[in-house]
Parts: sequence; C-alpha cells; structure tokens
Amino acid sequence: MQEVQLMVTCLCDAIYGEVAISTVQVLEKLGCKVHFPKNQTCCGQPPFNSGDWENSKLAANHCISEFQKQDLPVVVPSASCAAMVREGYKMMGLGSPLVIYELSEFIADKCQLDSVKTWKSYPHKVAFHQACHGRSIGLKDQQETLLRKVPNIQLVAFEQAEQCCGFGGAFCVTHGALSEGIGLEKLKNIKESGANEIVTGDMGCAVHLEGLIKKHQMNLRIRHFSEILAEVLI
Amino acid sequence: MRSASASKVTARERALKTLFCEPPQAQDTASAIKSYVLDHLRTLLIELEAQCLSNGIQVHWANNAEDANQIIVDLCKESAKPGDVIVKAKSMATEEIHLNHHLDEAGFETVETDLGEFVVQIDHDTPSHIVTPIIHKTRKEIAASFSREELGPYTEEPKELTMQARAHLRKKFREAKIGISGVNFAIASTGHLVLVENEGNNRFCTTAPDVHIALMGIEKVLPTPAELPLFLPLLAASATGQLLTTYVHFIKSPRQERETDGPKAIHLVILDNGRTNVLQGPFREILKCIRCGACLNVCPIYRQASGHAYGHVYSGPLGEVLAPALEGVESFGDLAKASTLCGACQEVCPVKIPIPELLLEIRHRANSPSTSEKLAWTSFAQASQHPLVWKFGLKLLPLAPMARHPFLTSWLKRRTLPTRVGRDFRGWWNERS
Amino acid sequence: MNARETILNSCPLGEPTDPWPAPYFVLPPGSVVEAFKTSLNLLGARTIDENELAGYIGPKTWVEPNAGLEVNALNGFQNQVDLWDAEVGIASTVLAIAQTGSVCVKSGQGNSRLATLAPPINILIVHRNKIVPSLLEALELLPDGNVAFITGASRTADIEGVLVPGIHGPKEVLVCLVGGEH
Repeated sequence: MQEVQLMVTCLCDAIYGEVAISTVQVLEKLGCKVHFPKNQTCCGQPPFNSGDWENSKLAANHCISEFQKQDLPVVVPSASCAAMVREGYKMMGLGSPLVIYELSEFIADKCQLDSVKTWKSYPHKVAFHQACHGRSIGLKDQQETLLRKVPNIQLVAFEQAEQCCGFGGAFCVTHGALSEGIGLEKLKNIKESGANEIVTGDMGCAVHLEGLIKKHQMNLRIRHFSEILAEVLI
Repeated sequence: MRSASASKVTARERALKTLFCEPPQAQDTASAIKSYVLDHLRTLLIELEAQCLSNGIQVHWANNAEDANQIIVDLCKESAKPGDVIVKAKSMATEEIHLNHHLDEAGFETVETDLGEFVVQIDHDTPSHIVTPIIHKTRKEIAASFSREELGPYTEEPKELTMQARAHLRKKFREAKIGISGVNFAIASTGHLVLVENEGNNRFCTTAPDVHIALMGIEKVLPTPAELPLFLPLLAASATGQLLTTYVHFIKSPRQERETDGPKAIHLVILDNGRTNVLQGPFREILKCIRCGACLNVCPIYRQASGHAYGHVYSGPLGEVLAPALEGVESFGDLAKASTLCGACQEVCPVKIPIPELLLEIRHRANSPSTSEKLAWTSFAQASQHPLVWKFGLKLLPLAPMARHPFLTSWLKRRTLPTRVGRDFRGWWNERS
Repeated sequence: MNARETILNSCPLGEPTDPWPAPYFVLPPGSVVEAFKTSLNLLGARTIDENELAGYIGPKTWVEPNAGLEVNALNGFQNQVDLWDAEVGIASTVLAIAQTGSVCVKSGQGNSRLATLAPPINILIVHRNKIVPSLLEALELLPDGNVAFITGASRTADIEGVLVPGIHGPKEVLVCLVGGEH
C-alpha cells in the first residue's frame, strides 16, 4: 500500500473542505493510505508571488518541517501549491526538500486506475478549465484525461479555453479591474458553450470565478475534479 | 482587438507545425543559440565589427540613448540639411531611444513608413504593440486621421486607406536623403545585417536614400548564417503566423560598382543602453528576446489592457521584464505585478525565456509593497508558523470584511465573499480518526 | 575609455561550447517544383508561362537586363520608362525555396533592388533547377553581396487586421518558371 501525506491547501482548509475530503476519498479508493500532518498551514506562495520572500520563507520553512516529520511523498489537489514547493522553494534558495505531486499527476504516475472496475455515470455538461500553474510543473492533460474516463460526462469545448481565468493571487485585488475583465471573459465563453458546470484542478481559480459568478448571479457551478472522481469511483 | 490577438495565436501554431517536425525542439535550440550569443557577446561583436568594416559598413558604438541619438543626428547632419526627408523603417530600438524626437529637434522631416507607425506618427500617438502598432485603432479613427492629413478622399475601406498611404509614402521614399532602420539579426561571421518585414518600406528605406543608418542592440548578433534557417521562420511564425516574412534583406555592403541602386554609405550603430548591465544580472535571459510579440498575443492581461497601459515602449510580458531590467526595478518594478504568472508567454516564446520566473525575481528585488500589503504578508507569515493561530484565523474568516483591508475592499467590489460550502475538512478528519 | 571599449569590456568573451542540435524541418513532399508552386499559391502568388509573360510587355514595363537574356519574349527589349514609374517590373532571381515559396534576388550586375519593389506588378523569373527544398539549402547557397528573399506580395494587416497587399511594394507577384529540372 502506498502511503502519502495530504497537503490540504489554504483554500480547502478555509473554504473548500469538500475538495480535501474528496481528495482523501479518491486516494483511498485507489489504494493509498493518507496521512494528514495536522500542524500544516500554508506553503508560502501568496507572499512569494508578491515579492515578499522573507515572509514567504517563514511559512515555507514551517511547511517543510511539518512534512519532513514523515518520509512520505506529499499529494496536493493544486498545481499551484505543487509548483511553489517544487520551483518556488528552489528560487528562494530552499532547495527541493519535499517530494510533492499534484493530485492528477500522482494518479497518472503512481496509481492503478484500472483497479477501479466500476465507475458511476456523471451525466453533466462540463467545461474543464485547466489551471495555468500546471505549466510550471510540466502538467499536461492528466486532469482532462481523468475526466474523459468518467461515464456519460459531456466535456464541452469553449473559446480560448487555454487562457488564464485572471485570478493570479494578489493580482486579483491589486489589479482588480483587469482580473475581473479576464474572469468575466472566461465565464462568458463558458456560458456560450452551454456548460452548466466548471471543473478545474485549482481552487484559486475557483474562488475567484465563484465570486464573480455569484456577484453576477450566473447559473454556473464550479467544482474540483476530485469531487467528481470521489462521486463516480465505486 | 482581442480576437485579432487570438487569431494570431492559432496561426502561429499552424505555421510552426508546418515548418518544424518538433516545434518545442526548435524553440529549445533557438534558446541555446541565444545563450551562446550572450555568453560570447564580446567575441561575436568584435567579429561583427571587423566583418562590417571590411565590407564597407561603418560601425559606431553607443553607451546609452543620449549617445546613440547624438551619433545618429550627427550622421544625418553630414548628409542632409534641415527640412530634408528622413524615412524610417519600424524599429523598436529607435522607439526605445526616442530617436524621432531628436531628429525633429534637429529640423529634419522624419517620416515613419511602416503603415502602423505612420498612423501613430500623424496622430502623435504611441505604438501599442511591438509588431502591430495600431492594433488599438479602428478603421474609422484611421479614416479620420487620413482625411485630416489630406491623404485622399474620406474612406473607411482598409484597402483604399492603404493605397492612400502608399501614394503618400512613395513620394517620401523618392525624396528621402537618409533611411533609418533597425536590425533583426547581425551575422558575426559575414557582417550581414538581416532585416525582416512584410510591407516593403524597409526595403525602400535601405535602397532609395543615399545613406542608410541601422541601429541595433548588442544582443542582436548571431554567430553565422547557418542559424538563420531556424531563426527566420521562427520569428515569422511567432510574430504573424507566416512561414517567412515577405522580405528578408541580407545587407552586406554599401552600393558596389556594379549595382544600380542602394545606399552609398551604411552606418551601423551598436547600442548598449543598459543591456550590458542586464547581461551581468539576474534578468539576462530577457536579452534572448527577438521581438516577435508572441507573448503579447497570448497574454490575458495584454489582451484586456492593451499596450498603452504599460507606460513603456516595451509592453506585454516582454515589457514587464525588459522595462525594469533596462531602467531599474525602482522605476518600473511595479510593471512585474501586472501578471497572473499564468505562463502562457513562456510557452509560446520562440527562445523559451522563463518570463514568469523573471517576473517573480523582479517582484522580489523591487519588494515595494504598500504598507497594507506588507502588513498582510507579515500577519500571514506569523499565523502560518503557529498552527493554533492559523486554525483560529480560519474560523474568523467570515468576519474578514470587518478588517477593511484594501485587498478585501477590492475583492468585494467585484466578487462576493467566499463562503464555506459543505463540510470542514479538519472536522471531518478528526471525526473519522 | 570610449563607448566601444566600455561595451565590449562588459561583455563576456565566452568559452568554446558544443554545437547545438539542428532542428528538423518538415520538408515539402514530392518534387521541389511542385512544392514551390503549392507554396506560391498559398501566398496568393501564381506561376505563369512565357506566353503569358509576353502579355505584360509594354511601354510601362521595366525589364532587368539579365531577365531579358533568360526569356525569348524579352530579348532585345528596351526600357522606356523610369523604374520608379514602371507598372510592371520583370526581374531575374538566383534561387527559390520550395518550403516557403520564396525567391532570392541579388543586387548588381544588371539587377536592381527597385525592380522587385517599385512597380505594382512584379514578375520574377525562376529557373526550375535553382529551386531548393528549404531555407537550410538556401542559406548554404546564399550568394555574396546584397541579396533578399521575397515571399509573396508586399502586405500589411495594420488596419483592423485586414490583409491588404501592395502597401509599398508589388500588389501582385507572378513567377515565370524557365528551364528544365535537374
């Protein structure tokens, strides 16, 4: 049995608990034993991206020490956090102290998906939004490939699918109008595709898009791919 | 404007696949060659200078914009008098040093001859894109400008407007005493100045007048012509989705005995203007840039904001790095914040410049947060080191609006406050174990 | 220290390094002549034969001396018009590239740069046996002197992205193929 440590991410810790729960359930269905270091907080990305590396290092060092207590790979349902630990730590001179995988990457590389014989149907029209930070860890189409395996799911194509949602961490508040414009453009393209659900792999994109969806009272729901997998894997 | 940028994106991919078996390998090779160039710059520039001199091209060196402007104005005064026409081809280096302003001050009639740059000039505007300078203008606006300048009867038809410009600029080419251009690639081993373009104005500027002055940044040198089968199509595909630009000029020497046209004198001005500083610092990779504009076309911020919002001649992701790199993170460091770090720019970059990493590095070095931002990150870092404080903080999240932090105000202006949906993870985990 | 020395002293000399791997080009299938024609068509240029070329000869045609030697119809033609005012320019070329539909023109020895630039219609004479597959061969065979590659008509898309030919140079480029293949 593979043993892994879950990095829950700030956003799932604070808001999207269901995503973290689904992540644990999916990993367990795929035969993993999941550990949760309870003293974990944040990987340090928010201040890092804003240029405040001193404060980022404080958070990063805490993160490293908590996950180094066990010599197990870390799995995180966010390419953005994975990129921070893999690339950001290197840039700050902290090296590569942790082995970390984004969830879909871990499933593709380390799990036997075929071991799950039955998949439930998920008859929904879904627009898949690929989070940009996957680029910096070399994530390709692992998330979309997983979704394509789900019976009866209808993945719709939409205009400029490859474009960023406009979140960008602190960017979404320091450059609020631009961020909003990019986000609304994304939502408009998705709406036009006929999808009623957005699926993504990063709750950063989700928290921004959801805030816009609710403000503009659009009829769209946003989910993490792990939530769908947790529902359909039996 | 957004759709124009987007269509260039797909044309770019199509062209790259038509040209190269593996486009990413072509990009990696181009990047490696540019690394070689930066690592061997002194050797290559000395070789280039020697070749140019032996081919009859005069070489001048300029430490900064001021010197470059002085050199060029002095050269112009040698062969032209106030009131004479100087025709200019599109060149970002001349934009960078604000050359037109200095030529105007010296009394010359400087005429931009690239259609987009021409419109920018008659409107006293600035280019908003390094390849397509008037992407921000509509045909109606251009029609109004042409009619104001009495270039012909009022029309909004792009074809007719283009023909009016053709007729007007053709006269200028015929009159011009001096032509000024940039350089896309300068070949060290042969001394060729390689210029690419689609319109033909570059060819006129470097053919019709008796004197040609070319301005190049030190990083434009390539070792040999053998690098061009890679760089020429890579530049064309990345810029406009073409396999090759309409014109590629290999300028080797002033007019020779058996030539019937071409300039009688060619001057190459080699410009530093901050580049050697960049070369020795953490942002040196940006000097690999070949000014294709692909990063602008894919950038969500550029598409939303347009080039003028950047407040510098270099806009888009390239400008977010190059402006602070050349002019200091103190003055232009904030440009690096205008990015979601999505990485689309790095993906399309023909020479694989790690733009997001460079932006992070600039943000770090500028580290100029507002007091409220600094306060936010300090409290964040404190909480992140104390799990109890952290967990307590999470519980207080619904009360966040009371903090009245500018970040939250900005968030709430455009979005609703995120609220917890479903179960709390820590509660769920504690219950099951 | 003068500017030259200041700049050069701030630039690295560099060490010898390994050569970089050559990128692999997609080569056009079939004969280079056919591939060249296909590329030209994609550019909106087309090929004409010597008969059609003869139809372009008139008082406002400007023929390069070298071009006159290559095509019978142009033999002995005397230019009557200033090149700047010509409506048709007929020029010889030294190379052509199948992959991109480009031709290479060389200035000098009877060849003028303006001949392929100033007249609104430009006819380029290309020898079938001078067509090479790709830019790789073209750069290897790059002639000495002031040369240019021309790929289709002069064009701009500066006004709202609408493609308009003939902004400064020729509005129409025609290619007259002469001679046999290798």
